Amino acid sequence: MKIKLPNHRDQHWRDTIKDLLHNANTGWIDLDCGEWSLTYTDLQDLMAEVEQSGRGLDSLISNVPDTVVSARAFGLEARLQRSAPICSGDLMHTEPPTKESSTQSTGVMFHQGTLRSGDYLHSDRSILVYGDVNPGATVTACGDILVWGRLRGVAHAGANGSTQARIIALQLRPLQLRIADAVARGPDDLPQPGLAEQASLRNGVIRIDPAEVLSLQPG
Amino acid sequence: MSTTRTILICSGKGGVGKTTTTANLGIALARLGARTVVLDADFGLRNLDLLLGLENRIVFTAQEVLAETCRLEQALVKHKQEPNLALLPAGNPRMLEWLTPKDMKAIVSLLEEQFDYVLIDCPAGIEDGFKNAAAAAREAVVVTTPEVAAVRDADRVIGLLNTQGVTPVQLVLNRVRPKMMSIQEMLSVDDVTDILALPLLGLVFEDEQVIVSTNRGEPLTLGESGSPAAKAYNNIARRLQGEDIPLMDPSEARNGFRARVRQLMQTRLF
Repeated sequence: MKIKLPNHRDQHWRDTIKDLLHNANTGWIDLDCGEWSLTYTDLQDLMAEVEQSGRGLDSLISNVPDTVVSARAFGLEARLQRSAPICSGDLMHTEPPTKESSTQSTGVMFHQGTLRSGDYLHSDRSILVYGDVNPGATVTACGDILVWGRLRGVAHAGANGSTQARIIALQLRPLQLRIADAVARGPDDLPQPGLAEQASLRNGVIRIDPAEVLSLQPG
Repeated sequence: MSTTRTILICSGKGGVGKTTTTANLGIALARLGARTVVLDADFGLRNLDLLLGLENRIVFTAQEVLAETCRLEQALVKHKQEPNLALLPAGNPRMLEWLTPKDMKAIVSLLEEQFDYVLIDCPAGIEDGFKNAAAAAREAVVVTTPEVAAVRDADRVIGLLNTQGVTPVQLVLNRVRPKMMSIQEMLSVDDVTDILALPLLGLVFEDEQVIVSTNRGEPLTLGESGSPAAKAYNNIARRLQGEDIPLMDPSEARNGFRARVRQLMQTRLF
């Protein structure tokens, strides 16, 4: 029997746990903690409720690493799951990619999750990364590169020579930028917070400006 | 359901304190009453026995146990002062090639029958030694120092652990120098957690006592010494067991010291 704690924006789990347990069948429960960040003491209280209702906890899943940490400390079988993907379908992608990832009909590759040092992502189209690109990671695309997060690694847009390609990130502080054949080092100073930036090629030189609204090119 | 926690202690970069952390954490957990075994997977350059002062007691290794030339009990080396802690070298430095991920899983499942904690001391690097050590791990503690190279390597290792499905992965920030952090000559705690995005299990301040205790073969957590590193390792052990202990604040550590000096001077003057 699977139980899911309420969305943390709607209701506190402490208010609903009794009802949830009451409605569940007797026996073993798989608990989905969603976005709740539970401490060891929270879990103690939660377990007390579960035991009081005459049921047992079989396993626990959570989107938050902290909860998994507390659960393991408690001796519970716990697993981390990714938060729900922002797009439907099979676009979620959990492993550092070595080859083509999922694509949409628009010709944009979508990658969810942080690219860590040593990871390499390439697409013949444009790439949308939902997460950070850490120093040491590389992203290359024949089209545009859009990072919904911090770009601190190396990015190469327009890898097949397209000079119209752009690199956009919420925080654009890459080690190195490449567009078509042009290469630039990233800026040294810290960016203004809350300002997305884009890099584009103008007169053969890579320039960084505040980001414009755009539609990603198929590349 | 097995309640044994098999924790890999790794870093990518060498010299950041994996083995020191393993030794101190092992002792600290054992002192808290948990049956703990430290498995030295870095057997090519094995140091864990040195740090624990058990070098001269090793007779067999996991290799002999798997070859069934000895029993597991014979290969396990009990710690002199802390009977809850045992050491098992994964292999013989002369026979580097024999260990495979399958062997590692076999050893660990043997250990999981007897112990509450299995701590695996991982070799530096991300090659075969790392892959072998990581094969049987269910959780991981990544040790890093506030240096760009160490953080970069840790990031790589975390990526590899994620693909292997090791969760949770927690972070220990070792060799922190509060003074250098406060004048921004060293990466700050936030700089590190910003990139690695992991739950912080503990901060260990740079401490000369670590060198002394390493050379003596007596981990700091063994004594009642109030040294900052010993406290930090004890806190990490307790956090692993689920206790909610606040992290040390590097800026406060410094103020604390300053305040103490000021106090000392006042008492001398008046």
